[in-house]
Amino acid sequence: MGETLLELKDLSVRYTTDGVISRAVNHVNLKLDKGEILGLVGETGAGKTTTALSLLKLLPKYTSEVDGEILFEGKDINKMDDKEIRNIRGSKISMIFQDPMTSLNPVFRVGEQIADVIKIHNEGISLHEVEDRVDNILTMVGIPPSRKREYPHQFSGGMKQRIMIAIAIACNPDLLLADEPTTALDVTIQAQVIKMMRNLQKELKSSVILITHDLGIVANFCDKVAIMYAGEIIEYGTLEELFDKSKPHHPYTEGLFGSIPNIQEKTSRLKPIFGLTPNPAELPEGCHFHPRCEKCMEVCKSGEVPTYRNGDYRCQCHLFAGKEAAV
Amino acid sequence: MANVSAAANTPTKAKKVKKNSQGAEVWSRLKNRKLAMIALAGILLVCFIALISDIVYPYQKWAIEQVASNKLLQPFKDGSHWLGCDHLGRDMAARIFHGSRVALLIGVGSTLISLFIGSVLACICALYGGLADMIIMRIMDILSSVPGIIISLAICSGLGNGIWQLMTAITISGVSYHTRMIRSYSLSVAQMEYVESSTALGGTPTHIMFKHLFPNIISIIIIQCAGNVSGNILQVATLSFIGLGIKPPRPEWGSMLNEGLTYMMRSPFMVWVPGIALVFTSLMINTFGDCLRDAFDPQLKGKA
Amino acid sequence: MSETPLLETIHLKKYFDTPAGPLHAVDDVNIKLYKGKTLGVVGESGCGKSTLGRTVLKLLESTDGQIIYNGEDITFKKKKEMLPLRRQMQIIFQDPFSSLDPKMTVADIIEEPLKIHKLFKTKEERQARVVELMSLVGLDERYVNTYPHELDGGRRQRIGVARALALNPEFIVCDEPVSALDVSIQAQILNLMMDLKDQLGLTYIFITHDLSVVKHISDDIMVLYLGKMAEMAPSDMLFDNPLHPYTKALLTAIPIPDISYKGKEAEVMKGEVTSPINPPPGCRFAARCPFAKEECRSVTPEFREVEPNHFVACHIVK
Repeated sequence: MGETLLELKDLSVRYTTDGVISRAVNHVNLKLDKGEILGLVGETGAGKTTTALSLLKLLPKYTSEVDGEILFEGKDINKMDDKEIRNIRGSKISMIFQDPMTSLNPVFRVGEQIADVIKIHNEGISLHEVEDRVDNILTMVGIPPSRKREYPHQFSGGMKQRIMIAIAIACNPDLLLADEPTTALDVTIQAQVIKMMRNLQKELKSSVILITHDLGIVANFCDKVAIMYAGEIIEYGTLEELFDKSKPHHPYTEGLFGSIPNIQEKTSRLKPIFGLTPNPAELPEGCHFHPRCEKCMEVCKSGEVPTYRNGDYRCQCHLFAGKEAAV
Repeated sequence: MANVSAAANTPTKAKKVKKNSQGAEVWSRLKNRKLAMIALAGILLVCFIALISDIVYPYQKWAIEQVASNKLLQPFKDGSHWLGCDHLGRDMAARIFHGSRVALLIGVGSTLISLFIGSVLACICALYGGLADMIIMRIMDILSSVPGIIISLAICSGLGNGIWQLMTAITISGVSYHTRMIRSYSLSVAQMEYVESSTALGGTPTHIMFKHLFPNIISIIIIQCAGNVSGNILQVATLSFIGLGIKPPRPEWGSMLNEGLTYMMRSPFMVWVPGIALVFTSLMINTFGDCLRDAFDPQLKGKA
Repeated sequence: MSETPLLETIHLKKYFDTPAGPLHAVDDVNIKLYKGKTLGVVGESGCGKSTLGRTVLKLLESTDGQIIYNGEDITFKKKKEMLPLRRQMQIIFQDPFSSLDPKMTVADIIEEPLKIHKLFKTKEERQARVVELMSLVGLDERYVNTYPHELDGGRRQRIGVARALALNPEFIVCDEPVSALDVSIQAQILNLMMDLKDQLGLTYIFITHDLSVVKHISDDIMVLYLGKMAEMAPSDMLFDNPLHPYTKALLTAIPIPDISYKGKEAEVMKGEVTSPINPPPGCRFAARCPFAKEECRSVTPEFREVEPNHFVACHIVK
């Protein structure tokens, strides 16, 4: 594999509201190579978005606390001051948000909004050159450059998301954080956007962290997959490893697959995971998943859960005990 | 917060989760704000003063009677007139105490009345819409196109001076503002799916108004109320200052300020005393209003 | 089938007036829904599926056409006359956050319909019914006094279901009841709704944008596009043999969580939903349809039966 672009070492994020401490992200270790696409999968409250926001230092300053290291090209983002991180935001790491309706400023033309990012990160660039690049980027995301003089409300949801993507890639970032980029879109539009993103990624060769709850999109788009639950990465591996149904998986991963209504099979009932995702303010002892786990054992209910490793693949579950040296 | 994470699968005999109403939640948050408590104490102090003014300073003897020998008596010179006396020899402390009654009566009274009228009109607008909405809003447009102070001036000069006239004037000038504000909130509540669901269950507009609309805008009404009281107290003072509203010799902070103006150079306390009373009261009410807003703010609420 | 359908709509239309002209939200929809069956209504945002659900419940006034419930024409019933019928037809909403009044406790919410219809004389009887309903939808009794904001999406949606069931309805419109929920919770709620259907003999109209969700719960599926019916067939038939190009596109657009499909580039449909305001004559899908002919742009296709129980509105399908 290529060289490492991003490495998270023991990343933890805590929020404090009304005196209650929520442990949103707990001891996350993650490595991302250049040009790699990582799918970060999990349900609401699993800490996916918090992880992404911490990479850009976008978490609320006074109510959140970040521990651990975020090494981006060898430098720790967590230790950067405001000026340093500003130089990285938008130019080296950029983010696509879930809701295209509210992420665009309604009072500026879309062309101006794209041009803005280019101007911020390229001082002294000529206006002519900016215009050229805006046209170029719009073409890349499949919008005719002639529409750059229009306002966001004149675009449909799918088109707006394309513009958001255009803004995100305007400076050729090394890392693109896509936070549920297609969740707000219709299926047919989602298919268009995913296809476009895949082509763009091939062209730009940036790394992507795709945050989603949809395993279907992951199967179509990603190289590596990390499953998050209660702020922890409970299973990590290549797409092939995670989607190989002949191998054992973390019970939560298996549950996720079981919950998806499959249009190719004829089943009358789904196999849901019972129970609910835990409140990050009151995480269960031991393995955070144990109250919902069908294979829960006595040992799961307290203490640290060992991580089973096999090359780059890892899984945090007692069921894998003895198969490999625990860390 | 409810113990959401408690294992949902294990059949529990856990006690029913306690009901913690919004009122209790807001109060507990207010209790923890020092500023809110100071402001509340200030407001209670003013109310207390208004209540006991008749006992401490009987109206006729202290607030009205002119004692020529006490003319422009400086404060802290005489034990029985600790805030001094005005140009006619009336006790300043007594006049301030009695003035607080006028301020509170009109400030709170006109706010409550205009808010009540405003909320009823607003709910009618939001629930029935159509023609009723249009007629009410056009009337409000007309009302709000004239500045509040001009309306008050017109009513006071038409109806003459007096507490009730002044209250009517201030109430009317407030109605259009409240109706507008509450209507916009009601409209957003009326669009919520729980209102639609209530309709689907067979709920009548009155049922929806009392069961869903009011409970959901009450916090906004309370916050508005707090802000409005201090505004109205200032408006009473303004009108009295220019000689409208309260009939002399009834003490009122605005008219006291006006009287003091003439003697400002020689006896600045005549301006200072009512001025401070006015500023203190409106500051306390405004501060409390701000704290209330913070306490109601859903953003501070922990997310489940 | 000789029995009368529970719900029937005949040429049902609902137009909204907009400054730009009439918006055809529901245009000529015919439904025949028999007791105990589930009709899945599928379409993308703006296709009029929610409007359809609200119009058959008479939460919105229809523009044209008839709504027949249990053999009785309810199209022109007034609000007061609808009151007894409200006990039989209910709705479950998509958003478990905006569909529950934040100022009411769980018990208040489930009790509301009982109070409106004055079903029980004493408070104790009402409360007993509330507890019964809560256990029916799998809500722990200890939550009676909590407020909705203290609960998570799955539990909130259960409250919505309990409220809809409070009056013992026979017909429920489910407006995207699971699309706001996480996958694992989605499956729980879907299972619950299927169980309730069997237990209580309910009839559903199940509205969703997600074909994979309706597959399991529906007997028949209707695909809507811009207010028009595009295709209707029994669930299995529709999935095995989709005829309308739009249905096919919808099916291929669903990402499948299986890597054996990776690389196999599915046909991605081009273009976006066109405006439903003053739509031109012809097939509404013509602008996006890869097979569109001249005829599609001028003549509105007829909704016809191409094989038994399989209806489609398309000029291409023979």
